Amino acid sequence: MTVASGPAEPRPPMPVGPAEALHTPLELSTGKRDLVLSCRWVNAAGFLGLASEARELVNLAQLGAFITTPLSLQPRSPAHGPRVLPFPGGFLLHTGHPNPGLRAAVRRHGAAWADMPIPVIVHLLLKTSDEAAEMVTLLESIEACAGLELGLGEVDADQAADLVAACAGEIPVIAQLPLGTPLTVFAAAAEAGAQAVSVGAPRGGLREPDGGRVHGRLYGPAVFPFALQAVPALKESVRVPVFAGCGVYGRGQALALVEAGADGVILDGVLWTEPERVLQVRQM
Amino acid sequence: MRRSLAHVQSLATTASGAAAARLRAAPGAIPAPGQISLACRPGAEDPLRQMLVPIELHPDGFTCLHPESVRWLPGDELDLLGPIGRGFTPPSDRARWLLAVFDLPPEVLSPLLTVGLARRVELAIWSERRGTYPSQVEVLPDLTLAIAWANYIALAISPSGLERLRSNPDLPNLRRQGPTVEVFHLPHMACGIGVCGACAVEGYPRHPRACSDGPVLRLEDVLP
Repeated sequence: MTVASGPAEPRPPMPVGPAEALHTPLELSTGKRDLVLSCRWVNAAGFLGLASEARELVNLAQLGAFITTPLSLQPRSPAHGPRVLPFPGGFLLHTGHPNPGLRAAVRRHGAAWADMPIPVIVHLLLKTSDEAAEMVTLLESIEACAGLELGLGEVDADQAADLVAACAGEIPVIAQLPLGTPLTVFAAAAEAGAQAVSVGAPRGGLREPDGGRVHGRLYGPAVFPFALQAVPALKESVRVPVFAGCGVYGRGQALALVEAGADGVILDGVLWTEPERVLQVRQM
Repeated sequence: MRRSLAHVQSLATTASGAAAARLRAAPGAIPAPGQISLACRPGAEDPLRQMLVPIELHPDGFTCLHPESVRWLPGDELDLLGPIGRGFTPPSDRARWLLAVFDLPPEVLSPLLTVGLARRVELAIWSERRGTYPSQVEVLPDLTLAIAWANYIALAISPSGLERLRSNPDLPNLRRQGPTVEVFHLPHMACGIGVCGACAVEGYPRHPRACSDGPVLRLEDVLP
């Protein structure tokens, strides 16, 4: 299946069941470069590192694509204070997305990306459209970068469209927005040229033991019902493939997302605990 | 580092009052002093692995502090990830060891203490919490004097302990030439493979991860 940028006709329903659909290739294309996923599993950005850090936990060949840790143009420091807080059924991460910056990451890991058994999607943390354009220019010179996932964060429709438009070029773009983002923002990102959209972790807050509050991204099985609820409406709102996840800890949940309309399934915390519960090949 | 199965054999309370669990584990899964493990229960949809800090090593497993946010029972099966990270590497030519513990149960340095006893070095301990130690170990109440005496220092610290250590008046003494200092840094860890940044040490350009670069770090990795 090829999905071109811009408006497209609604696609017919998948002719196969959800289990088979997960092993159906998916192609996203700008007309200049193609991102071809051999299956519909991908990792959430930040859960498998920048290259091969997780090789002892996950056989990357079981994924359709590898999404890097979020990268900013400049290096970023870790957040101050507690960065991982468990709650019943899940956990909150507030890491600050520490990373060495895009240029350093490319320098250190570009060769490893070229050797990966699956396509590499570089996840970008975006602030401004100028910064976004600079990052994309750098990545367009790297053949091993097969796709971009844009971490748009908490933006409105105009901001989402501006950032996506700044990145639209040779490399297929997936626009990522947090679960709970208005559908109009997803639609604006798709209409601005994203070849797909993805649902990122929702934001939430927890109380620290000392009385303070920590805000961050929420993960874990407790989040899954919200993701499943969101997918059908999102699927109706955009004419591009939808990647969804958030708290998938079992194969049945992945199948439910596909039945609800997801074109790809994003794996997060399960990759750090028991990836074989979804990928079904134990790495022990 | 690898995944393996372990079993909870028994639960206990340490001399300092901390909850502990004795695990039976494969020989390759037993951490060295200063290493840790992460664990979850197979099939339980645990959102995260729990961090296991060993306090005693056995031929068939290890005893660890029981994670606060879970309740494991004897007989429970665990999916272990580990041993994780870099452990202690006390130089062989250092014979006066100080084990200092900030804001943690003193038992977290017990595996290293066992190494010191085997090497027959002079051993002293400084801790904010009360513990029970072998007769060969001297408990020193004055940290300044203890630092001046030692030529190898192992510090065990939590994140809040690290904050306090950074403003401790004895910090310049730690940095002086002479003693080898290793820091056992134990923030919450999420992934155990150095990718999430939850255990990154802030304030330094390299941002070492406690799980992949540590948990035993050099003094200059954690203190200015």
